[in-house]
Amino acid sequence: MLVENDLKLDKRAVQFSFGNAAHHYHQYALLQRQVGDALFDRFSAGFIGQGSILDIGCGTGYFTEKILPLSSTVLAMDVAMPMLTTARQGLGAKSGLFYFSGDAEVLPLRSGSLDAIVSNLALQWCQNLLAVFTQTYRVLTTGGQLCFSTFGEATLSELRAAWARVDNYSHVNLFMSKERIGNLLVTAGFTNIEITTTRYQPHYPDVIALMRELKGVGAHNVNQGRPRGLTGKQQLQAVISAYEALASQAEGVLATFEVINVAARKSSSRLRRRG
Amino acid sequence: MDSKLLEILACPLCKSPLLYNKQTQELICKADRLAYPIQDDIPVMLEDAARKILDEEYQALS
Repeated sequence: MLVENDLKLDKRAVQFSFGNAAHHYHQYALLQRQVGDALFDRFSAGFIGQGSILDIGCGTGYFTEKILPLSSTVLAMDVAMPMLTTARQGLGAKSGLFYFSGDAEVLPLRSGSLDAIVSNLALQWCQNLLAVFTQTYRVLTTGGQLCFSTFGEATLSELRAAWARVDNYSHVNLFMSKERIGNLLVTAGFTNIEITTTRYQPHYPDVIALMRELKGVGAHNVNQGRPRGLTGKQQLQAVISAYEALASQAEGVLATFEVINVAARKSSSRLRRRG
Repeated sequence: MDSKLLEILACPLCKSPLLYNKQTQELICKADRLAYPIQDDIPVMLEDAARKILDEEYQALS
C-alpha cells in the first residue's frame, strides 16, 4: 500500500463513513487503465516484429491482454501468485501466453532471450531499480526495447504535505525523479532513452476513501523513516484536516499521481557510437 | 510444461537453464541444487519458494 499499515487498526475510532467498498478501488483501477492505454500506444508504435514480450508486474492482466495481439510469445510475470491466477482466469489459456512468478530484481530468464519488456505501474514497488534495469538489459536481445510507466516523485504530494504538518515521519512512499530514473538506465547500459511525465489528478469523495484505496494497491511503505508505532485517532484526524485544507474541491479531494513514461533500447555498440 | 517457456526460463540466482521434473512438478537448477515448484501450472521462480535438493536426488539427475 502507498500509506502506512496502521490505518485499519484505527478505523473504528474514526468517525467516518467509508462509503461502499466497490467505489474504493475504482479510481486507482481507472488510473491504471488510462496509464496502460497511453503506454500501449507508445509501445506498439515502436515495437517491430513478432518477438517475445515480457510483462513485469502483470497484475490482473489488463496490460497483458493489450499486448497479446502483438506477439506470438507473451510472458506474464508477477511476484504474487493470486494476481497470476486472476490474470489467467480473465485471459484464459492461450497458445504462446505463459504465466510465471518472479522478481524483477532477480529475473528468472535467460540472457538475450526477449525482444521487448513492458511494465505498467509496477516498478515503483521495487526497492532496487538499478538491479531491475541491469536485469532487464541482460535478458533483452540486442535492439530490444524496454517500455514502462511508473510513479514519479510528485505522486501523492498532497498526502505527503498533509502528513508533514502532523509529524516528522515518512508515511508515504518516496518515488524517484525522472532524472534519477534516466541516470540509472544509462548506468545499466540502455540507450535511446525517452522519458515523459503525465500528471493525473483523480478525485476522491474524502481523504479516508483515498487512504483506503491506496492501502488496497498492494505494496507497502518501505521508507526508512516510517513510524514504528500506531497512528492515533487524533493524528489521523489532523492529517485529514490538513489534506482537506490543501486539496479540497467541489467534487471531494484530489490526489496527484505523476506518471513517468519511459522507452529505452539495448543497442549494439555500433549504434551506440553513432549516437 | 511448455518447451518454449522452458527455453526462456532460468534459475533466478545463477541464470542457468533448468531441468523439468514432471513427476514432482518442479524446475531444477543443478548448479544451485534448488527445485522451484510449479503450482497449478505456474512456475514459481522465487528463491524463497525453492526447495534444496537432497544428495540422492542430485545423484539421480542425469
